[in-house]
Amino acid sequence: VYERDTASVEHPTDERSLVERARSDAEAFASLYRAHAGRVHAFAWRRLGSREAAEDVAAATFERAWRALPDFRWRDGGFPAWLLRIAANEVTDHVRREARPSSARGQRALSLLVPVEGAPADEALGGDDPALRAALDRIRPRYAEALSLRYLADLDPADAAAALGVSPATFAVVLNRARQALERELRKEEAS
Amino acid sequence: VNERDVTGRLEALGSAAVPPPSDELMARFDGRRLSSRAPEARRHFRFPVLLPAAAVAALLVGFVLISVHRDGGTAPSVVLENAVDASVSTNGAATPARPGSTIPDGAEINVGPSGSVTVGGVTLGPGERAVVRAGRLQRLRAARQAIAAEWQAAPVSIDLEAHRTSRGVVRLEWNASSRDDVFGYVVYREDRTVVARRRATGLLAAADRDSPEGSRYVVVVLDAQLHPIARSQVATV
Repeated sequence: VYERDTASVEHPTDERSLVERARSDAEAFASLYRAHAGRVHAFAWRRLGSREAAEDVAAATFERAWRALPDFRWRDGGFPAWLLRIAANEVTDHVRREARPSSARGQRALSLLVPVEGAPADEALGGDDPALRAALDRIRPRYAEALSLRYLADLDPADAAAALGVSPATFAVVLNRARQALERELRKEEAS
Repeated sequence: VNERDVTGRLEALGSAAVPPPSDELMARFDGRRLSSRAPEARRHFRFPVLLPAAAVAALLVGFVLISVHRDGGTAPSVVLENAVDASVSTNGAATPARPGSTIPDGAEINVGPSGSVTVGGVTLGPGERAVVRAGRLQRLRAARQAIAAEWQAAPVSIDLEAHRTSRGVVRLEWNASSRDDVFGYVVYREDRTVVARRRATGLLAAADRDSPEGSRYVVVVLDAQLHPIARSQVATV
């Protein structure tokens, strides 16, 4: 199990100074990356259920974070919530891409992803729940993001609300509706 | 499946053990690789410059549009060359039409029972209606047809007397309507032939010289928009 590397970010004030330096210092950003890559990777893996997809999402998340860091503003939740919001968006984009395999080009690309015989399989994910992930793919992306940030990224409600860009009260409403939507999807699947 | 199940499953998935990222992923973002694509410094001056510039441009465009509108250079209208027994309705207010007056776009011209209006070589006859659109007259549905179709719904409030003379002429007389918004009267024979049109202040009598035996007549009272607002009972001679 991946343990978060906190050696370089022991205190919030340290992280804040590191983020400020990372706006223009690649070495500082690399330190942030080492501190948070595991969490982003684990979030993406839990949400998508695949090492390959998790690593793609994690890499894309940090590439976007590197480009967007000059625009980052400190708010509730700080840098981790901002980073996980980017990751949630990347997950949504990934799910959308996966749902559109109909083009010839897309089909060819997918065919390249078929596991090669003898290649190492993904490690088993404890507590895996493919039906739950599939249901998350089918509900509204905003609902899936709210549930993912709250439960799969393990953000507390205030930080998840900040990551989603809404007030805590609004987030509570969105989360409640999201749970109901997910419940309906799971019932549909059970019925079928 | 209930809400508790859903929450429980989400929490279980959220706490599931996940293998660590690969060494390849962890090595992907080291300082050496990132240094070649450092993000650009933000240009904070953009908004302070662009927003006022956009506001000034919008104000200029607004002033130009307002001045053009005030000058009336492009506002379409028509000038009445001739107007007799007609009215102009603008925003619901009717005024008498006068030769030489300018009629704005959207106004409606109603020609009375004995009138006519000429605009740009186009002449509207008695009972006709037209609206000004894009500086031109556009005839509306013939008032005569409209009145003929609608008169039966108007309340009976005037008395029509009709009798045939020894020469076979039908003489028709009626009393004035008590309404304030009377524009004129139209006398119809039952075959929808208009026997006569009269202004509100004119003679309230008419004659029909080509009347078959047993003809039926009605007088319809019109307002300035040439809508039937009252009628007589049907008289048979």
